[in-house]
Amino acid sequence: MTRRRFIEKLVKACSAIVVGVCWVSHPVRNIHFWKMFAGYRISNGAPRRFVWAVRTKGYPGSLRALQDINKQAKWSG
Amino acid sequence: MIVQCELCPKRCLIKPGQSGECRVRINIDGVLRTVVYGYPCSINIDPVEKKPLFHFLPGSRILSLATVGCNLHCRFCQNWEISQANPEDVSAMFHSPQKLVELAGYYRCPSLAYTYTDPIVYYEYTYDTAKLAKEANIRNVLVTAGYINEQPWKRLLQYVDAANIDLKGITEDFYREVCSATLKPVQDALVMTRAAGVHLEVTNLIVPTLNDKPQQIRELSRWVRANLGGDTPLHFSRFFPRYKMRHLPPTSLKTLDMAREIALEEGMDYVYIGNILSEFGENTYCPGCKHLLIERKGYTILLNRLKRGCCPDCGREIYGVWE
Repeated sequence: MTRRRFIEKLVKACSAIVVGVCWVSHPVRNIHFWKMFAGYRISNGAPRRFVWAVRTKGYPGSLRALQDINKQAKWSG
Repeated sequence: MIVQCELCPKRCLIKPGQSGECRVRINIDGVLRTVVYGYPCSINIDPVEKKPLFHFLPGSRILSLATVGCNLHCRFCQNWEISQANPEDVSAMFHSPQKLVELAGYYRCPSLAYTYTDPIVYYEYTYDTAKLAKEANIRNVLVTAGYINEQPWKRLLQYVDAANIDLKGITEDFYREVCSATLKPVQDALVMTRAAGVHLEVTNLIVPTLNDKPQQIRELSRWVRANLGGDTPLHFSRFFPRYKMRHLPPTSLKTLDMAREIALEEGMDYVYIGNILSEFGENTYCPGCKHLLIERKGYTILLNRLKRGCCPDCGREIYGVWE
């Protein structure tokens, strides 16, 4: 390896280290980074998000039998 | 723990023991649960024209169901007794998805409609039933306000054959002030539905003084034509004084006729008026040769001249699902 090539590689390596250190030392991001690193959940206080809702056992209102379904609904639509 | 429902654009943050705006999706011990799965409050067999769907299996019967709840709170809601009710206050029946599919088969209904309130709030029940119905060669129809997030909508659309989506107005202000919602997600749902190849018809309920101005109707028609296509059937529906709009009169036939004329002027091919008897407003005419194709009176088909979905006179293909 030539001296020129060695200096190039050294500069690249140092730049990468500087960028990495700057990224990790970001005041908000670094907390998340280290929590992630340590296996913590990122957002302890965030709500749990759902699209799919699980069905409940039972209905909160009263139940009735099926009536004459051949009759048109009184509802619109 | 607080949960967030990601089903519709309202993205309700729900504390333990409480429900979202739809009243039927609740937080129990940090898990989102639906209290209406399997518990429809209404099951009826209607003519498909009542949905309204005029270009989908005309003259057929459709097994229609709804649970209580809605994610919108339109001040003019025509079905507010069930859409704006708490499940505790409305009696229901227990019907599993399997039972609904069996019922449709037993009563020889070629399709199932998830309607009356909004199938979006009983999403899981709709999804599971639609999946089973598809396997049994029964078609699925959604009658909805289309206020749903993209991911669950796309997931549901794969089992849907037809949809009638309400476009309640054409401004954000109207949606915000009258429906407690926003316009953009509805427009997105409409575009996605058409792009997914699902048969689509659009309904606009014309409410006197709120959305009955010629300019509003023109803008709405232009948007539909530009984004969904001029062949999308467009229904202008008559308002009756209900819920929080009892002080307004019913929509006049004159206003509905005017809306139909404007939409036709704007290049819409199939424009109908509904919830009112009219001489021509329920008929389908060929956009090419202008000849009468389907004559309707109320929900009854008096004449159907279509030949394999085409005009018998000029041969033009008519948008729809005809068999």
